[in-house]
Amino acid sequence: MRARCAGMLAFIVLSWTGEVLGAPVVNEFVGRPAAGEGEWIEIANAGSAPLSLAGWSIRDATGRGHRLPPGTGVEPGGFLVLAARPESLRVRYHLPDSIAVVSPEGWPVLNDHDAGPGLPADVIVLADLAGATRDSVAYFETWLSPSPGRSLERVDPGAPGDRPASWGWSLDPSGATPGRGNSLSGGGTAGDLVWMGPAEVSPRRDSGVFHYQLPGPGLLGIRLLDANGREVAVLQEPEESPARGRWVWGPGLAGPSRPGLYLLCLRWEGREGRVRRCRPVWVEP
Amino acid sequence: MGRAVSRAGILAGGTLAIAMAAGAEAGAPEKSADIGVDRGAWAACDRLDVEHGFPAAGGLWFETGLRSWEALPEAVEARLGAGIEPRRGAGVRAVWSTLTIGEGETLRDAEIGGVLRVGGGRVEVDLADTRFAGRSLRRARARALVVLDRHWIAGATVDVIPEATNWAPEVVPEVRGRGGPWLLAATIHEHLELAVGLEPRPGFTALVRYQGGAPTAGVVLCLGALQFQAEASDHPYLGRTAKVRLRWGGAR
Repeated sequence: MRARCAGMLAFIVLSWTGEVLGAPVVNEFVGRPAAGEGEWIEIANAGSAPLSLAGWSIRDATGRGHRLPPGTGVEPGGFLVLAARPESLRVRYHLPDSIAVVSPEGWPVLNDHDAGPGLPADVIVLADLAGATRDSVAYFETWLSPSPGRSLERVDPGAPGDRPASWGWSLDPSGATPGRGNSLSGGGTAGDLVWMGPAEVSPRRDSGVFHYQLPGPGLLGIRLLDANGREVAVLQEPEESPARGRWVWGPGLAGPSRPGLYLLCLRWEGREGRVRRCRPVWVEP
Repeated sequence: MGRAVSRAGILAGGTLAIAMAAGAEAGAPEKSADIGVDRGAWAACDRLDVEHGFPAAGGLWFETGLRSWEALPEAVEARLGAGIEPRRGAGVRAVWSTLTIGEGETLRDAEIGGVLRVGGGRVEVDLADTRFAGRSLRRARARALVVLDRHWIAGATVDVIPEATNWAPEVVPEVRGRGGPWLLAATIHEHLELAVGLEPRPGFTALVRYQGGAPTAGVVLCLGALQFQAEASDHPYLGRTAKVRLRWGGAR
């Protein structure tokens, strides 16, 4: 109780002085929202001290800053949700009042189509009072889930934001985890079968990160097939895997020699039985 | 694995070839080498190949088809095609297919081509464009088939992707044959793929195929100008798969 009071006091003091401690990161966002949801960005405080974000700003590739309102802050290990439509977000995800959802002055509309060949769809920049970038992520169209409303989660607040391997689609059944820990950060929890990742992979140039959730721990094998079931590459021989995890298809692994659409398939066998799941992936060798 | 499959395939193919020869000896005389007649080895080119089969030559044809995979629970591939394939000379064909995936993505593939039936052979050249998730890919495919004798047809398919500079064109040889009620198809992708059909009565063919590491079973029903083809398999990774095709037209 005493520690909590001390934390609150520190938060009030820091809010008043505008001093900043800790490490704020862009932790999750929806750049392709569901109907009526509106875009949102979650900021996580990965540091050990309360953080005042009053007067900070969020901006996109246009460079125009959108200032956060006075009193905005986030406690250590906590989350702050910036939303274009706070009320609809609260209703959709049943967010209690204890989770801070604020609306900046205006909203940096997030693009979901690449600005051009080799150019990201958009950039999310968190800037401090002086306008200096404290964290940023430049994301590409293929990083976003084609399912509207499914968020892009940072696998870990400490993961570098500019790497595709640091991001993945939310595994949460609701499609996102605003105001709480990311689904990709948790481990070992069994549940519905999930096999998600980018729609396009260039394994020789960059890593594609795929996330899975299985009925339980067991043997997991991964193959690349054509639509007729012909085996194109053995990407992982069956090996013991946890119920939830991520698999990275990078330069060290085999791949097809011709571009095109393939089926990236997993086969899992465990105490609970056997499951098979594929997802179509456009592969650029 | 691939070596084991190939050995099994060669053994099965040899056994079947002997059976076919015996069947042909005992059966009635056939005009199987005739161009445009959907009997003889040409039937093996169509009924054992739901992917790239073609109608018996003789005029206008339409076809539609669906395919699904257990491991892609919300995905369905739909196919629509039409063409004119005369008994001799040149024809045209066009096929449009879409693969709708549950997460909202759709693959679209358009294919147009020409067909030439001349002498004892058939040549098909197709140009195709595939689009998915903002990407597109053009490809060309040529397939040539030559009648070797009254029982056998041999040929090859060549796939070319102009944009894939580091990829050599893929050549897939094939041989197809018929003896009595038996149909045989063998194609060599990376591994040998075999299909065997049995037509116990005109208009009904049962088939089994070994492709992609999984056995497939199917039937082909021909009712006048209408042909219905269905296949099903249980693949180690794709799970249960099903494919149906309905075609009208061509010569019967």
